[in-house]
Amino acid sequence: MDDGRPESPGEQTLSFRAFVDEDAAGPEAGHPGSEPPAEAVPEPEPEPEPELGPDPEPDPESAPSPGPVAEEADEADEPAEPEESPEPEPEASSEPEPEPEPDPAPDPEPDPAFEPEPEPEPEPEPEPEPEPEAAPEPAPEPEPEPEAAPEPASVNGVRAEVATRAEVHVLPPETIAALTSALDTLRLSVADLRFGLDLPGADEARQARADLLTQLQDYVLPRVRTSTAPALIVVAGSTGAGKSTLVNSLAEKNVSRTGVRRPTTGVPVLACHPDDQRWFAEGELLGGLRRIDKPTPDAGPDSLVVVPTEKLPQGVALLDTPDIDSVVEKHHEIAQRMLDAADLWVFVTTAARYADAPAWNLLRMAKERGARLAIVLSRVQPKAREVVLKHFARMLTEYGLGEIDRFVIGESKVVDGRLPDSEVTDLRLWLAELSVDEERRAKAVRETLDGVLNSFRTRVPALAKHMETQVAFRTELRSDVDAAYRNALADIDRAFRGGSLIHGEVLARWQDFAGSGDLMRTLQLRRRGRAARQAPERVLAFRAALRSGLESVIVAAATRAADEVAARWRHRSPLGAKLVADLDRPSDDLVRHAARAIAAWQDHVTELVRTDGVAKRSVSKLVSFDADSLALIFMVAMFSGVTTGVAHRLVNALLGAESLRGIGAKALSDLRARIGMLFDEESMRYVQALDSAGIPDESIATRLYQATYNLEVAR
Amino acid sequence: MTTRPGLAPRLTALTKLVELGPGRLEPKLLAEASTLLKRAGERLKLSSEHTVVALAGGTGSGKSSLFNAVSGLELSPTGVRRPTTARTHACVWGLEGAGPLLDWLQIQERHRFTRASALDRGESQLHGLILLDLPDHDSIRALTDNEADRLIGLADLVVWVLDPQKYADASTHRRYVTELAGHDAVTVFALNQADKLSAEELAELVIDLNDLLRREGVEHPTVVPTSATTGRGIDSLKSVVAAAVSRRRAAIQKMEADLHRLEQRVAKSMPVGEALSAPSTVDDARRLGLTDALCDAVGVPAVGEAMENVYAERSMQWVGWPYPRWISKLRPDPVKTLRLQDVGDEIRGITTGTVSAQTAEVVNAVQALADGLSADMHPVWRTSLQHAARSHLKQLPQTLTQELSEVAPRLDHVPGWWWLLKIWQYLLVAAFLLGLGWLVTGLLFAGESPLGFQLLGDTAALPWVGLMMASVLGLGVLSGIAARNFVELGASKERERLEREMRRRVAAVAESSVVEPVERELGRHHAFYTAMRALAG
Repeated sequence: MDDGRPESPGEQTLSFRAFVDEDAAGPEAGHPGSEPPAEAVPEPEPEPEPELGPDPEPDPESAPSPGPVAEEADEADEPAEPEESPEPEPEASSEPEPEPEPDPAPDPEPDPAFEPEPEPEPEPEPEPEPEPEAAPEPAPEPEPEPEAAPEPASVNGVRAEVATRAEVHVLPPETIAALTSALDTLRLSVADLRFGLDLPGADEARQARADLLTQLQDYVLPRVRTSTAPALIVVAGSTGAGKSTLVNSLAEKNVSRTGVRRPTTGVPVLACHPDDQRWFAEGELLGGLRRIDKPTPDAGPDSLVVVPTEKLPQGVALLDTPDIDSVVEKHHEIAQRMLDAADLWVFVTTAARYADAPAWNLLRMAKERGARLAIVLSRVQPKAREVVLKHFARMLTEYGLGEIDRFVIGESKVVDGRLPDSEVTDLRLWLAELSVDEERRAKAVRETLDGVLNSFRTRVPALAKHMETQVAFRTELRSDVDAAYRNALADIDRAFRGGSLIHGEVLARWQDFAGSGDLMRTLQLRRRGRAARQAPERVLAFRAALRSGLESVIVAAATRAADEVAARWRHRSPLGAKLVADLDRPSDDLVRHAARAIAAWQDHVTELVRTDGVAKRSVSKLVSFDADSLALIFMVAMFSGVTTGVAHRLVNALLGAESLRGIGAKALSDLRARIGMLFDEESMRYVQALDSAGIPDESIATRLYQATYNLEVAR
Repeated sequence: MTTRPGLAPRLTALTKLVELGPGRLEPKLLAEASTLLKRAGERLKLSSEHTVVALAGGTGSGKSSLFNAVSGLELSPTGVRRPTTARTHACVWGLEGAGPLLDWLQIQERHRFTRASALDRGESQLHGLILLDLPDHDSIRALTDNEADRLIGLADLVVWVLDPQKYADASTHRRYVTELAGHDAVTVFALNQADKLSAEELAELVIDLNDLLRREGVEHPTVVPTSATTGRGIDSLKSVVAAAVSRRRAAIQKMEADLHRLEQRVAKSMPVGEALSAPSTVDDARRLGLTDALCDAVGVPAVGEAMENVYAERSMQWVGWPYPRWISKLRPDPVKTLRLQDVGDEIRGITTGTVSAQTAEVVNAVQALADGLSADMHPVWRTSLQHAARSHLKQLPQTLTQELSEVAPRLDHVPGWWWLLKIWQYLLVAAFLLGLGWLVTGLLFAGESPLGFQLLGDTAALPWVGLMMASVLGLGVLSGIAARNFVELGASKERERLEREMRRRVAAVAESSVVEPVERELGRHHAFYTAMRALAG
């Protein structure tokens, strides 16, 4: 058990602000708010050095008494001045001398007693770290050592409980401020992300977004703010690998249910030292989860069981997670979420499973994220031990994971959900080391945090990229609609110019109109008192034929456009097909609206002919004409596509070339405008369908890139 | 292999589906259907005396140990390294005829083993068994190797080897077990490594596994707890396998189950539902509707009306009483006033009628037919029906125009009886003029006859002459009116005939250019869903 200690004590750089029992109570309560002053305080403990410092030290245990003393002395001197500040250091400095308790070094046992209350507070506080760094001027090296000394407490063998609330400087304060704000911006941007369009990859992107957001809230932000918090060690692995059994064995308490049913654990269970319980019960880490006392069947997926146990060392908490590979997919998500919040990953696999694909996917992810990892290979049969270990080690090396801490647990009888103590000794020691060796723990925490922040470099841009895909997709669909209706308008123009309108019934009616003499009869020599005759039946029929001809040209073009949009959207993606499902035909109102528009246009043309089309003087003196009929002849001239036809020559003679051109241009542009409006209405349907599927925010991708960049700068 | 009644028609139905599938079924589903069809065809040709049983499962579950335990020989290497087995091993009970089957399964020669019948003491019921030890499907090696997948598809009976650690792995359940609905008869679950559990634990686990399997759609799971190390349950497993082997039905059952699954999956995207009640031909009402719409596009009624009107108008030039016509000609002509005589001529020229189809209306007519027929169809079929309907759409207006131009009315045509009437009219005019001459002569030379004709000078005859002239005038007017009526009667008869003829031609064009392709597609639609129903068995 003691093996673990040697290095740890030395490596720690700590400031014992935790021991502020009586007097500290007041100030500490105020701590959260008092951070700024804390920074101002010149704190002599720099993190980096601690590591260097500790190494030289021979034995933490041997150093116990001398170390602490020296350290306290130093601390006392320096912080003396800034006593007003509520920080732990001042207190620590003041207390150490008078009271022996504050120093964990001298007495490891007593500490636990005191610390329970005060510690939780100091840990979550972000100040501790800032201070030390802010005040690197004071002799940094000397201190680390002295502080390191305190741990020797372990002498008693209860090293696990060694109450060393050390502030390991994970980050300098400015960096923390900058990082926090950069991360906050990032979080807001990510929170604003909405992937409304169900494109391929959208589900993954949504999941990635949710993961990112959860990780930011559950882990990154709390961790950046308070890096001295106890380390969260997440035990993850396949179903049936023995995660719960392992946690139970280490906790020496049945904190998590074990059994033969797969999957066994559905609700994550966190086991920690009672002193750390408050931090985990109230802390921001995994803040999105509801804390419960014991796993209940009806506990939702957003629950976390927190169980205190004295058998676990302080400063490290074990989190038993659901599996990563059982049929219950919900478990995978929970496990993933826990891993996202982990400071260290303990990956548990078995001799039967170590080649499973899901296991290696997880290992690959750990590697990508740069997470600190330890691997436990359990259920190893003694006779197979040699071969399996060698093979597994080779596989790990091939995967570039050869350097990782490995633990082996033999196949042994599980009693009451626990392994024999002998099987978990190594792991226990490893935990103890982490507990005692603040520096090492901080390093691990920092590495994992770095890994996660690094992963943002690819994960956030990937989200932004998908966002851009969505924006681009939407733009494409829009342009499909526009193009289709533009083509439809072009079709109509072609029909107008090419004379295809003057076919079928329109042609027959025109022949009727002309051949039956009505045409000639519309021209009357001007005679006094002769009123314009009522339009004969034939004129009305002709007018109706023209209207229905125009209508069918419009409907045909709109049908083609709708068809084209449907085809293009279907071709683009299944989502397009879904959106266009009910829109592959023109709207039901189109025919009605088209009929109305054309009737209005015909009236407009008649009006134009009546008012603007003042006939040539010379003509009007001689001939009067019926405006209705003339308007019809004019339309035939307009749509016949040639300028030599009878109709054209007739209107030319009657209205004059000038006036004809004027009316012609006006009539045509009016018709185009009316059809354009009809088509706008039609294409609105597609825009609405698109909008209803979700409007991607075009600016957010840029914001994400910016936030990623800012984050890098802040680091 | 003899097929049970029922399988053959279902396979025929599958053939039909595969044939009609391209462009209609999802490519993935279609590929699956073709694979299944091919596989079924091949399997049916091969030995029906053998039953292929595959041991499948995750790495470390003990497939090879079980394989060895069942075969009673150390044929497949077992080990603690994961994954152990990379190549499939096969053990055959009764080799004759199994060769081609093993070739088809692509089992390498050196991995084939035989249980000579001499070895089989009391194992005759296993005669015809081909036991396969598959590689795992869930290790990192399996990511790049689909050997297990391939053979799980080919085997007649699959024994899933599970173990207490892995029995609930997603890699087994999500990828395979959930696909097993309907495969109860050809799937066995062996819960291996039972020796690692206490009796109570085993019982709990078996219950849990059964529940899990049922939840995933395996209605009657066969779960056999086994232990390759202690030999426990091996005999039960053997007897389960032996039962399947001796029935010689596993291959057929497997195919039926596969067909069922395929049918379910196709039905999910293209449910039979009401599809079979969709029309398989274009009914008369729809044909009539299409013909009407196309006639409108050509303007048949308007053409008829125009013809009638123009005839009536033009007949006046021929058979009307000439005097009013002459009088009206004396009125000033506005066209002449505008110096547009040639336009006037042209207008008269228009009367040489032409018939043509209006493209947009033709398009709309065809569209309406397709829409009406496909309203309730699956989108895929709707699209293909539209395509069929439009297959000749480009040439259709042109074809219609050509067809109908042949019967277009010649508006300038002058029937012979118009000439007769015209002559009669002019005869009357002449008679009137003659009478006028007589009257004048009689009045001028009363009593004397310059030409020696007594009658001419006879004043007593003059009133008779006047009377005669009046009656000639009256006769002229009457004959004019009668002629007009005749013309109109003829014109309306002609119009009827014309419309009938045009309709007939439009209907013929519609039939060949639109209805026929549409009916072909409707036939395919019907055949597809009939096949779906047949596939469901």
